[in-house]
Amino acid sequence: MNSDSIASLLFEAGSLMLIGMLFVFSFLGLLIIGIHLIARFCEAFPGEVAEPTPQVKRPNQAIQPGIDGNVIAAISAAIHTHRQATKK
Amino acid sequence: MDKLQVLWDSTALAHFESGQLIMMAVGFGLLYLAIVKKFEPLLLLPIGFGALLTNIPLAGFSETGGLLYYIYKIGIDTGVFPLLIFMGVGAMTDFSALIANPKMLLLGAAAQFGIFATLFGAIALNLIPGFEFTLKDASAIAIIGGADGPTAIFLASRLAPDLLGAIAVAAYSYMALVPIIQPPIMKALTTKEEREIKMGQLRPVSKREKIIFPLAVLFMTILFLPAATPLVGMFCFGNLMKECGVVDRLSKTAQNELINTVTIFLGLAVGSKLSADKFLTLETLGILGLGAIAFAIGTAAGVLMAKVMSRLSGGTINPLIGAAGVSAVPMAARVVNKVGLEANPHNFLLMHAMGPNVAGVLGSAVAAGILLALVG
Repeated sequence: MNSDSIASLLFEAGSLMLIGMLFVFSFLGLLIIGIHLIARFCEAFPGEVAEPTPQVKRPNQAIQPGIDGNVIAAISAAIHTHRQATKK
Repeated sequence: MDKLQVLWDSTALAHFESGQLIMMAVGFGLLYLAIVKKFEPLLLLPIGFGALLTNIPLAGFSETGGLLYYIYKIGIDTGVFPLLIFMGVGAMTDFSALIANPKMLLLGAAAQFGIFATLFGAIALNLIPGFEFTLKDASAIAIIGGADGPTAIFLASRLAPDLLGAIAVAAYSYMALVPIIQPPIMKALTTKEEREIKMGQLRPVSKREKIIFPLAVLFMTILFLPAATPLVGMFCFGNLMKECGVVDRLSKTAQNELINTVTIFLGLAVGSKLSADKFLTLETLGILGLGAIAFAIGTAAGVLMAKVMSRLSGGTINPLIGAAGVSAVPMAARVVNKVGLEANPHNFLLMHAMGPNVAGVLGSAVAAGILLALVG
């Protein structure tokens, strides 16, 4: 391949880089606006109760030094019984 | 004596060529990586085995009439397999982290710089005698920087089928190497204080938002980038099946049975492209090198963008999450979480990193669409 054609290819690659990045940013930028609009729409017309996003489990919350293990066990047992009782 | 000669001629021993032996060794190498090192085993195992099969002398797996020839012809030549995989990936993707914090799309966009910078780099390699990449070849190689296997295979099958084997192997190997490639770059570009930044809780996202989101993405793609609709369309279809909640059976099939079935054939078909004449070339070396550069540049661009956003937002964004902008779901997000935990053992960034991570999937699909529209 001669250097002339490489230079023109390089130029084309450079412009592709510029146009490509510009397009990716504007496309995803528009999508940001879109998501905000969707959120606004869903706030205005809430169909159902919002479900919480799944949260990352934090193991450090389960074993807090301040709380006695017995208390946790008692509360867990109570919740369990309650769930069993209210189950249809 | 004649019979003995005929018998000898019908053994593989008489017909082995050195290239085939080397490629079989490459196949064994991939099997080793998959089984012992557990690098992307779901793909590297079928690819490695496909490489073994296709290099067997006399068996003709990849010649007209052979099994792998047909699998390749039906699944990859047509672009069907990567698209089916993309549908399954869509059915497995949860966009709530992104919908809760849409700014993360900018990180997914910034990381695509890896693709376009590599495109430039691939053309620049032509200055070295022995390399002759056309713009199509360069685009197909550059997409490795998108860190998205199906997208890379789809684009390569459209633009540079001859390079497909090397591109797929590079893409999947580097995706497996994300935990090794990314952390040094992430640490070099951020200070310890920045890595310790804790991010606020994400808001809850309603089911309705999650249903409208894939439809909105598809609508925008239809309007602005129809060339990306095969990829984005299948992705959004899978995601809608998951989120709408009325076709659980279909969604489960798309993300389990179907994607598994397709993965087996996709891997074998990619492996069938690992023949000596296509793989043992200088170009393959170039592709492997460029792929690593693409990953590194994408990661760096994402982190730098996140740094800018962190400054502008007054320090509420941890710059590490920018690294997740190169797709590689969910590996890149896990790496971010791990590096974050090293700086601050109570800082869990996983959910925050999932936002840019899924944004990266969209970003690389959009970038692939642009390359298809402009180069293809």
